[in-house]
Amino acid sequence: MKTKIGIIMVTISFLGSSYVAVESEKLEWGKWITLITVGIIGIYLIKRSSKEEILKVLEEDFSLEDLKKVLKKATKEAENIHSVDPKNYPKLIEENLSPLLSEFASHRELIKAELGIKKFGEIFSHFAAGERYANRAWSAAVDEYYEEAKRALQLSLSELKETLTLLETVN
Amino acid sequence: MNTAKINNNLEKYPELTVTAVLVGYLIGALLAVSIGYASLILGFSIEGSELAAILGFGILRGLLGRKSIIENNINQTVASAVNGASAGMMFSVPAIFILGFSEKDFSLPIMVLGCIAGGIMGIAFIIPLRKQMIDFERLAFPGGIAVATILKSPGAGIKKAYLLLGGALVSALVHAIVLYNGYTNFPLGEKIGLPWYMNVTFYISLLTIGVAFLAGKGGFFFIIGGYTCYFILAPILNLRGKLANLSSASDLQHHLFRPIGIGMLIGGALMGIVLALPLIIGAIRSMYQASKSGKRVAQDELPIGFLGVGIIGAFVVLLYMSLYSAQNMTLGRGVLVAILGTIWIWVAGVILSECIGRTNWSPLSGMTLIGVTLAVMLTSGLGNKESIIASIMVGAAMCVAMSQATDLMLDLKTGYLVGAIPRKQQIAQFLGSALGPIIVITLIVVLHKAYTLGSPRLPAPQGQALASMIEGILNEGIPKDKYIAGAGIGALLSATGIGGLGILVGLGFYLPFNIVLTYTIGTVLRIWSDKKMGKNWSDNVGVPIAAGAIVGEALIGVGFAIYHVIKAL
Repeated sequence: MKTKIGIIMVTISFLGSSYVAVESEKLEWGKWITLITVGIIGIYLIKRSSKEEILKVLEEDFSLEDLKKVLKKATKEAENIHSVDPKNYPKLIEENLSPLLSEFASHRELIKAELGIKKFGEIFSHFAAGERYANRAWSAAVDEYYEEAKRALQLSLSELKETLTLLETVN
Repeated sequence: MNTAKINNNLEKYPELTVTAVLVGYLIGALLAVSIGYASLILGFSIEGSELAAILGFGILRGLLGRKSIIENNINQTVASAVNGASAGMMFSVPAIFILGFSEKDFSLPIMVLGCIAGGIMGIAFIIPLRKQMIDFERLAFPGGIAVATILKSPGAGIKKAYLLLGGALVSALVHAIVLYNGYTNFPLGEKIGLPWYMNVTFYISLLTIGVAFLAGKGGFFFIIGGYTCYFILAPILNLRGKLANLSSASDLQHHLFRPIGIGMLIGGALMGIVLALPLIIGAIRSMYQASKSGKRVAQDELPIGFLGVGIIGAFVVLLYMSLYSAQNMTLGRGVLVAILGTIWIWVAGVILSECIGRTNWSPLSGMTLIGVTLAVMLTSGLGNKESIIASIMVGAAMCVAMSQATDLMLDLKTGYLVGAIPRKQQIAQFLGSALGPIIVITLIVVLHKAYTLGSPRLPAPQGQALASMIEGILNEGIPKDKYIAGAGIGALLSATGIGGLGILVGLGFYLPFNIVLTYTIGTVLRIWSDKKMGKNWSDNVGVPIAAGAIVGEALIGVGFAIYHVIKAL
C-alpha cells in the first residue's frame, strides 16, 4: 500500500511541478517547492516499503532459489557444450545456453532488491564476464577458430561457477 | 616445438590487428568527410558504425579473406571513432567562423590537439561506466545491437540474414522516397482536426521504429515524457489561456519544454550518479583488485589508472586551452573553466550514454550548449571576442569528449554481444580518436575558404544554432529558472530508483514530439510481440528485422551524404 501511495504522490508531484515550470516566464517557486516536497514524501514512502511489496510492484514472480536453479542449469549446459565438438558450439550456445543466461539477467532487479546494490555488483561482474565469454565462444566457433572457442567457453564456465558460488554464499 | 608454436599462432583469433586498424582508418576517413560535409548542409550528423561494419565485411572477409567477427568489430570501432570527431566538431567549431572570426583569431593546432585530447578524456571517463551500464544495468544500446547483428550474420543462419536484409531493403526504400520527396513528416493531427498544440505529427522513419523495438520496455518512460508535454501540459496551458503568445508546436518545444528537458537531463543524471555511486565505486574497486589478481578476465579491462590520467589530462588540456585562447584570461578563471569543464565532461558522458543506451537518441547539442554556456558565463568579463573564442575552443574539446564517450559505449555493447575484449576496443577507440580531429578541422577550414560557413551554399545549421545561442547568452541570458526547475524534477524522478527515469522523461521533454510519436510504434510493437508472439519470436524474428530497419535507413543516409560530396565536386 505504501508503495502505491508513494507512486501516486510522485506522479502528482511530477505533473504539478512540470506544469508550474512551464506555466509562465516567471516561475512561482513557492508552488514548485510545495509540489516537489510532495514527491519527496512519496519517495520516502516507496523506500520504506517492504521488499515483498516492491517485488509485487515490479511484478517479480521469481525467488532467489529459482534464480539459483536457472544459473545451475546454465552452468550444466556450459559444461555439456564444452565437452562436444566445437563445430557444434554456435547452435548449442544459441539454443541451450543463451536463453538461460538471458532469463537470469532479466531478473536482476530481484537480486538488487534482495541482496543490495553492492552484492548485486559483485554477482553481475562475474555473470557479465561469463556471458561475454559465451558470446566469444560462439563467434570463434562460427569463424572456425575452435581452440579459441574452447578456451572462451572454459572461461565462461568458470565465471558462471563463480557467480553461482557468490549467490549460494548469501543465504 | 616449432610446429606447436606455428599451430598456436595459426589458432590465434585475430582481434586488434594492424589490418583492422588500417581498414578502420580508411573507412572512418571516408565517413568523417562524407558525414561531416553533409552535416554542414543538412544540419544533423549520422552514426556510421553500421556502414563501417558492412564495408569491413566486404574488405576484411571479401577482399582479404580474413575470417574474424571480432576483428571486424575492431574495424568498425576505429572507423566510428574517426567519425566521432565529426559529430563533436561540426556542431561547435563552425560557430567561430559564423560569428565572424577567422582562423587567425585562434590557434588551429591548439584546437586540433584539444579535440584529440578531449576524445581521449571521454574514452578514459567511460572505463568504469562500461561495467555499470553494460554489465550491471544491461542498457539496450539499440544501435549496438544492430551492428552486432550485422557482425554475427555469418553464423546466425540464413533465415536471420534474410530478415535483416528484408528489413534493410524496406527501410532503405522508405528513406530514399522520404529524401527524394522531402516529405519527412506525416501530420495526422492536422488531417483529423486535432488542435495544433497536441502536435500529432509522425516522423517518417523506420529506423526510429526499429530503434524503439530493440530498446523494448526501456524506452517506455521516454515516451511518457513526450506525451506529458503535448497531451497533458499543452491542453491545460491552452485551457488557461497561456498559449496566446505561441503559434506553433516548434515554439512550444523550444520555449517551454526543451529548457525543462535540459534541466531534467542534468538533474536526473546527477541523482543517478549519486544513487549508482556504490556500484561505480564497486566497479572501480573490482577492476583494481582484478588487475592485481593476474586472472585472464582482469586483462580484459584497461587499467583503472587510465581514469586518473583522464581526469588530470582533462584538467590540464582545458586549462591550457582556456589560457591560450584568450589573452586576458587569468589563471584563477582558467582553473575554474578547467574544473567545471572536466566535471561536465563526466556528467554529460553519463547523460548521453544513458540516453543512447536506453533510446538510441543522444542530446549532444543540448549538453554542448550547457558546456559552452558554463564557459561563456565564466569568461564573460573578458570581452565578447575573447569570451566566445575561449568558450567555443573549450566547448569543442568537451563536445568531442562526449561524442567519443557515447560512441565507445555503443561499440562496447556491440563488443559484449560478439565476445570482444573491452581493453582491445578501448585501445582501438584511442587510435581512431586521434585521426578524426585532423581530418575534420582540415575539412572545415577548406570548406570555409571555398564557400564560407553560414552562407546559403554551406549553411552549417548546427553551427548557426550554437552561434545564435551564444549571442543570446551574451545579450539576453539563459532560462536559468527553467533549467533549475527541470533539474529538480529530473532529480526527483531518478530518486525513485527506477533506472534512468529522470533522464528518460527529460529526453521526452527535450526531443521533438514527432520522434516520440514514431518511437511509440516500435515500443508498442515490441510489447505486443513479447506478449502475443513470445520472447523467442521477438528475439529471432523481430530483432533482425528491426536491426535491418536501422541499417537500411543509416546506409541511405550515408549514401545521401556521399551524393552531396560528389555533387559539390
